[in-house]
Amino acid sequence: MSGELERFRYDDDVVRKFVAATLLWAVVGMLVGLILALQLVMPALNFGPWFTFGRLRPLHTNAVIFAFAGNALFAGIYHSSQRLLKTRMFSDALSRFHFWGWQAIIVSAAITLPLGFTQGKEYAELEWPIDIAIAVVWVAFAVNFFGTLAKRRERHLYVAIWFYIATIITVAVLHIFNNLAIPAGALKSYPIYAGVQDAFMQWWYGHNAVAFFLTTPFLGMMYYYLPKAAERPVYSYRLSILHFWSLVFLYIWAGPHHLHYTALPEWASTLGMLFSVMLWMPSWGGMINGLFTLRGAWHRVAQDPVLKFFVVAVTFYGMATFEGPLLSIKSVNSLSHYTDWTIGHVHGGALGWNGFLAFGMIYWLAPRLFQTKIYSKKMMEFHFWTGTIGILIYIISMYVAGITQGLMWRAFNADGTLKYDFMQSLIKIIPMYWFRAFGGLLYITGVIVGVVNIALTWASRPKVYEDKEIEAPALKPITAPDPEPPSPLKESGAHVVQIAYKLERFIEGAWHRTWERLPLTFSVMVGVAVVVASLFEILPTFLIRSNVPTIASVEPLTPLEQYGRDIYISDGCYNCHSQMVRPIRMETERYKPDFSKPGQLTYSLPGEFVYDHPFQWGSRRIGPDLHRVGRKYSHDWHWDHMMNPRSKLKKSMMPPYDYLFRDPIDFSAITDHTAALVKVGVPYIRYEVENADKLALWQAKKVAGELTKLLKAQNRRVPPNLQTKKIIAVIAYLQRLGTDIFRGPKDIVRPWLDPKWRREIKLSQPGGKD
Amino acid sequence: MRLSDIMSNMHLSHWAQIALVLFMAIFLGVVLYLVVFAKRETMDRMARMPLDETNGQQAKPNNGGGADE
Repeated sequence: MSGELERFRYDDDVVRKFVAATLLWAVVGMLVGLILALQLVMPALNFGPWFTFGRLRPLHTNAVIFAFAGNALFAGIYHSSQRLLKTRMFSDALSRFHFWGWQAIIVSAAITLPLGFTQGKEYAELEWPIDIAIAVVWVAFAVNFFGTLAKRRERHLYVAIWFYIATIITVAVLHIFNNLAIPAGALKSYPIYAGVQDAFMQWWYGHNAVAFFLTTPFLGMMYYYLPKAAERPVYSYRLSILHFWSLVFLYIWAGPHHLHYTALPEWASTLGMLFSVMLWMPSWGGMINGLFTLRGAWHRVAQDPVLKFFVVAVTFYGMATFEGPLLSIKSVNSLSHYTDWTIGHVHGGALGWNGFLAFGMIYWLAPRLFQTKIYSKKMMEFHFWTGTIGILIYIISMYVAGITQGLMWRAFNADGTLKYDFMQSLIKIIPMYWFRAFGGLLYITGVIVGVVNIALTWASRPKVYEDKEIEAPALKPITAPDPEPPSPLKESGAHVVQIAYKLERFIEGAWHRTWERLPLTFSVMVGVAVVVASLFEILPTFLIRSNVPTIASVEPLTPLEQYGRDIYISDGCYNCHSQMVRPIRMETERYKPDFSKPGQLTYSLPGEFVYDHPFQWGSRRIGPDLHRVGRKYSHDWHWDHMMNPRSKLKKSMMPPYDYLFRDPIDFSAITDHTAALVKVGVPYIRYEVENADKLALWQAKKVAGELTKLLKAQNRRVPPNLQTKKIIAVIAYLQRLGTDIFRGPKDIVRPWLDPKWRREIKLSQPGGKD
Repeated sequence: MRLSDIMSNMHLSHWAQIALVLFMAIFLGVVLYLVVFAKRETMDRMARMPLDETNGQQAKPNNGGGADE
């Protein structure tokens, strides 16, 4: 039934390229991680404005996720898909375009993030032109992959291919919908979503980026490379199918568990929790499947470092997927959220599961790709052991730090006051930060030895690679359906029995086998599952008004405050500060404003964020929450604190932001920003948009005047042209943060809404003499 | 009348519960299929696919997992 033998060659050149890029970006991304770890214990290592913690942290996460893990998964997909489908990739040109396009995106990320160009959404920081480039390269990848499926010489799709299909479809959907934004300049944009909806969208994206960028493709690689290295088939193919479908049907729902106790509607976060707990089952099924594949081959694990890497990777997959559902349970989450426990959790997954699976795969591939022996097995062993010990030191220190800090935050004295202030909880965990940096250093040492080992292996490659010709029969189109087995039911002519026969055929699963042969139908099904799940969950929050009640006293920021917020986003303040006081007593006590009346609600309400494009709730508190920071401190306190945080808080880890005191406000940008914000739905009046720059200058003069008074009262020097400096915008923003719900009818934030004011006040032009 | 007014009156928050049941049912359906109906030979043959390709030759002609194999 099969066609004539055909001859073809695999394209291993592109695989070699992706492997090299994986190793390069591993070193870069992890070194940045190490620098960040050291910046927390040695704040002097923050070299502003480009190399502060807030700007480097997105570079680290983007580099390890999209550059290191990304290139690794592309190497795995390009290598294994060609073999599983018995064909060369659809188009060599598309493969090259994918490779070089992806590297160009990474380089542009590495340049723009330290320069402060960011959307301010975790793992989706890259600005709109780069987002468009990502979409284009991803589509090229998809065309190349599905083209390869179309010209394959193997009827059935092995489960690894299913995982790849799910990856390609879902990542495209996630990327496009989370990054919908209105440009406000060449490298500046505002997302179309605000507040709660933006948070929902972001964590639907953020969680599923973990699921479909760091989990499904790596599972596909596990299901291919682990059997290859162990030289035996996967333990249970049934379990692998179950693993696949349950991930597709369950994972997509889990995102809201990142937003427990926040202003997100209760039902959404409960649903996220339920689905996360359900994920325990398939994830552990997958881990067991991986480990049992080695049954009868465990003696080989002791001798083969590749298998060691795989065993540890799969074990960490099990650990991370045990811990994930645990952290998604609300009561656990109330302790763990905003602490280093989360950081420990993700590094168990990233260093253990993704890192070790990628390195195991590269060690297995290297001798085959470079057609020579691996340079040194001892170096592989060294890499394995330093890496494993490094991960353990890293994650254990983070667990200790996270739980310690979480417990200190919730500790009360007998009289009902908080036992520790924020700074005490931070000082307590500094020794753990040293351990973390040491663990990271060990891991990177292993990686560097690994890179040297692969480079030396590459150096001993043959002058010309042997390009082996492969033979496989062509695939003929299916002309007849599945051959029907003999059945007594079929022989009978009776109508009812005929129905029973059809039913029997159906439950035998003939339909499922037919599907597996039809990649298009299969892909559509995966797409439908993902989209339907997302719509069921997301639509209600977006469209039901009662989910985000508006509050009459909450108004949009003024143009100057918004500019201050843009600086807050650009400097990545959200990497250390949350803006979300949860409705838990320990939080309302700690973060309530001094001027709130007894019994007044002080936790964050959904309606307070309706003009926040993007939301800035954050995910980790290295510093305290800032949602209720408005009017808590005086202008001159912020002035001193931003210039040198340690002048106010002796042990602060915050970098100094002295450049904000030098750099001028770009008043012309304020006009563009205000116009763009109107497009995403912020209700600025026409007068405000047309005079945004002048109104910003008017308010800047007011804030600068108040500040000057305070400084002069202390006999301090007041720098010239204070009203044109960026710091004034930042102070204006911080002083407004979270104060609207306490505002009385006489506290006016946008006086220009009154026509009388507009007639009486004469605004001056920024840049003019005054 | 805006779209959100219409959607607000559709009581869509029940969607989530309906979907939960729906997705659970599909999940159980896959379990049932795999435990009760999936053929051992088909599964075994599929599981061997990664080990099959070293020389590019197929072990036997293959038109896809009919129950006669």
